[in-house]
Amino acid sequence: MSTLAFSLSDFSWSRLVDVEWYWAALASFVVCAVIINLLAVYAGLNTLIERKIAAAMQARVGPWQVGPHGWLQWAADALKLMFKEDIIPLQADRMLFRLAPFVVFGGSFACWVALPFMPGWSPVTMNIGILFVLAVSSSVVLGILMAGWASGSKWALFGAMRAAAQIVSYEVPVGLTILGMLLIYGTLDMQKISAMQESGGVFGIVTDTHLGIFSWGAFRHLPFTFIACMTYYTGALAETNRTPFDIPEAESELVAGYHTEYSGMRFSFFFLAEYANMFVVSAIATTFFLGGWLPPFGTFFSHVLGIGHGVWIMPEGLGRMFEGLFWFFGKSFVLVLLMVWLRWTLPRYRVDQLMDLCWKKLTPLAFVNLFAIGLSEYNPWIGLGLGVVALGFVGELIRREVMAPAPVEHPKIA
Amino acid sequence: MGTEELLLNVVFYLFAIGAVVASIAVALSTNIIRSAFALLGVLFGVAAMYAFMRADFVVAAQIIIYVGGILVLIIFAVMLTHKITDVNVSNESAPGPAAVFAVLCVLFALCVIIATRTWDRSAPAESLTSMEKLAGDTKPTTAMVNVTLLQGDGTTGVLKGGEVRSPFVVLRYEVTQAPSTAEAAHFALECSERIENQPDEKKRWAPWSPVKETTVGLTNGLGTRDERLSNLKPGRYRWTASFVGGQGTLALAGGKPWTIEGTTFTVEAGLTRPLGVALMSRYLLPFELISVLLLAALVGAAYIARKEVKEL
Repeated sequence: MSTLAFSLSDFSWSRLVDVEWYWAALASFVVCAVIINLLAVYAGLNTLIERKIAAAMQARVGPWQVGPHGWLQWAADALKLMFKEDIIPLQADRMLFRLAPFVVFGGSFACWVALPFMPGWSPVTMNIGILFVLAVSSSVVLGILMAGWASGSKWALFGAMRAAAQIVSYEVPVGLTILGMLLIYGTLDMQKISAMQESGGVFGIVTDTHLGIFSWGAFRHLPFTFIACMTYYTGALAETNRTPFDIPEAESELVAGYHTEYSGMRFSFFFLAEYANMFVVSAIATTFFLGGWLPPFGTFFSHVLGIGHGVWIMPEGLGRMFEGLFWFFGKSFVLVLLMVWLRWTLPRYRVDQLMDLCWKKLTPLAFVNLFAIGLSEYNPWIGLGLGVVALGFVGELIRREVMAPAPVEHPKIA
Repeated sequence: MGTEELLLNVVFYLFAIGAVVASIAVALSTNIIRSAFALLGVLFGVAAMYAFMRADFVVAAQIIIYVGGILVLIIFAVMLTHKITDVNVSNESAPGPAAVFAVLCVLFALCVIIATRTWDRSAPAESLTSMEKLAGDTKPTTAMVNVTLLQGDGTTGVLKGGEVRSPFVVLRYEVTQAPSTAEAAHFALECSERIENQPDEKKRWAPWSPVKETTVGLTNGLGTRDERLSNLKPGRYRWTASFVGGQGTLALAGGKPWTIEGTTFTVEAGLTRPLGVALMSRYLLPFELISVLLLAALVGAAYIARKEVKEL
């Protein structure tokens, strides 16, 4: 037996399903093919949905020409992108310019293999789950920097620098909130994290009863985990360069940011990566805060409240897996749609405001929150006391805001 | 060499060669930006080496720290340096004799280390000694039992109604040396009741049920065999083992990784926990010393970067 051979197979399917290596290799290939196609179709549909929502919010009809009500527009777009000419600017560093989209896309695609899609099954089961996701997604930053530099255009370079600075900065609050949740779960394995949200309750109540939605991570130690959830989501928005944090591609300032010079398929890889990233951060939020693949109704609902008796208990075996798949994707898509909604609602931050929000507000908040979650986990009563104090603090802030006289603006006319 | 092994070796050498080629590109590229990006290949190649050593946590830490942190910082520094691409970064002068000497010294030291050290790719020292101790305790073996700690795939089971479904553990054993006595090499592992939950698995989130008794025995002859232990749940188990004659390797792998700890073994989830324990106990002083070093570097950087305050 070669230790080497054995060690690599630890990472593969052959240990998990106990089959010969070629079946494991075939299974890996099939899963990757399924995921990559799923990703492409999902990204296409998401662009369309985004445009439709934008149109609805701006009282337009949106894409209307291709297919019924324009619902095939995404396929037409994809075809067009595939057949477009691949233009490389004269000033570009040709090798890096060609490589960059794949580094970005590879980074966001690799995250997908670690997501806990359904109970007991991830494309790759690894006990460092979330750490792996955080690790491979760091190559997105490098790809963006590569694209910006290689384009040989100042707009692209500005966009890349902004993107990198932003992503690196927001990794701090995001990492801290995830750390806080890891204090509760005590594992990095995303499957286990999902499973642990089946029982237990609000304010750290220790129980084996499945409380459904009240057992989810966001409601574990109530004010703090929920704050962690919001902090994570805000940071995740910034990390995916979505509005209101889309200053790396601010159209009014930078043309299109780091992918200004790209066209055709290479451009679409950036696009795919952006949408893949949106899904990944939403899926992480789902796993850590919203119960992963668990349904929102626990046995508590069916047994005690008598709601949905026998319906909302997850079935056994394959049925359980598919129900888990449904809930996981459902929750993640809701979060993705929330991002779309935010995009067409909020205006864009300025660079300094963005950094101010990250370093002066979110990071201290995440730090305090981390300590609070740690103390709550140590003793739920301390957590309860801290929660009351925190709520009182927030209430006082709101009261001051309400009581304060409205500031009178004196616009300066130059 | 079986096909699987061959394939894995091919993959290994692909990564290794990739890392070496990328590092050569870092050293030889005349464009400093390309050098910096080639470093990406080196870092990922090294991470792949760690993966081959089953150090999954180190892989993630390597990529997060070096790719996500250091490399981005390097590229930032390179990009923000004024007209850095115009500078000819290649050394015009040939390396001086002192440099050649220093490099040769380092190379020699590395060669000596590689040649003299016993590369135990299997077990951490602790589990080996405890296993030896145990073998002495339980009796009649003179042979050394080499426990290979293998890390598994993490959870394969599903928590549902207080039981884990479909977890299994493969006990792989290899007898490498024929038994001295007439009787066959024999290793028996018996897992009886679970003593307690896994430390990081809080009871309230993990309502595991006790495990059934599982006994695995192996008999006669050289070679590698797999036994499948099923229905095991994370936790600490009381176990008994006896090894009579011969010499071999015992590896526990599959659904869960294992650590041998005195007379109990603990089902561990990967390397993260042992690594954390080691860093916070045995290697605490070096760990803290390194952080002091980093602090000093940080202070130095801040000092260099600060603006000179003009004396009035």
